[in-house]
Amino acid sequence: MNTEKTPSTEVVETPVPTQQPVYDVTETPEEFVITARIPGVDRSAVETVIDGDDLVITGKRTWKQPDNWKLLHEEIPAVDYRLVLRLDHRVNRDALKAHLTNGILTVMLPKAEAVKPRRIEISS
Amino acid sequence: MKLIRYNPSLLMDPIDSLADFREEMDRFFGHTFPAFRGATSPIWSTPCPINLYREEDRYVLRAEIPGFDKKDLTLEVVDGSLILSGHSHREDKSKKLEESSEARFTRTVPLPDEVDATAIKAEYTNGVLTVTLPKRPETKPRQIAIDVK
Repeated sequence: MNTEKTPSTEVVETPVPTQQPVYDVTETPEEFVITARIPGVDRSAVETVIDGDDLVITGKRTWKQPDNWKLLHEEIPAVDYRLVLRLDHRVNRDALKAHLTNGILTVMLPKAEAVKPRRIEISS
Repeated sequence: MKLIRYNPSLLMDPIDSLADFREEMDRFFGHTFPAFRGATSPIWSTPCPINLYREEDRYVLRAEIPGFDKKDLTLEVVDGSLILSGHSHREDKSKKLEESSEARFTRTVPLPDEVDATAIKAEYTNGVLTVTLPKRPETKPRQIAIDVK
C-alpha cells in the first residue's frame, strides 16, 4: 500500500482479518498525533503496543449481539480493529500517550530530542 | 474528443464508490494543501453505518458515529422515519494543532409501522448510538385463549 501519511509513518499490511480503522496523522513541532476512529470499543479493550519498529493498535468491539436478537440489516462488521504503523527514529518511543473519547483514539508520539526544532546561538 | 473507457466497477455500488471517492478527495486535499483540511470536512458528511436488530418486543438500531458529544446528536421521528443527525465543531483546546474539526452527518431510517414512536430511547457510548424502538403493545404477539364449550 502506498498510502504514506507523513514521512515518519508507513502502513504495514496485516494478514489478520480485522478492520483497519479510519485514521489520521498530524504533526506539530513537538509530536506526531494519530487519531483513529474505533467506535464500539471500551477503554479496557484498547491496546497500544510498540512491537519492534511498529506501533500496533488493537481494539476489540466490546458489544456482542445477544443470541435471541435477529440481525435485519448490517453495515457494521463484527470484527476487531487493528492498525499497524511503522515508527522511525524521529519518535521517542518511551513517551507514548493515548486516550479514548467517544470512540476516537488519540495517540501522541513525542518527537525524539534530536529532531525537535532548536535554536542555535551564534557566537560572535 | 477524449474517450473514456467504460468502467463497470464504478457502477457496482454507487454509494460505496462515492464514499470512497469522497474520502480519497478529502485525503488528497487534506495532505496536499493542509490549509484545506478544515475546509473540506464540513462539505462532506461523516459516514454513519448502522445495524438493525429485532427482538420479540422491540427493534434495536446501533449506529457508529464516533467523535460526537451527546449534545451534538439529534434524533427525530418525522413521517414514520427516524432521522439521526449530528453536528460538531470544536477548536483544538491544546492549540498545538492549528486546526479545528467539524463533522456532520444525517441518516434517515424508515421505521416499521409497529414501532411506538413515543417510547423510543437512545444512548451514546464509546461512539456508538444505540436506539431502542419498542413495538406497540397491540402488535406484540399474544396468545388468545379459546374457550371450549
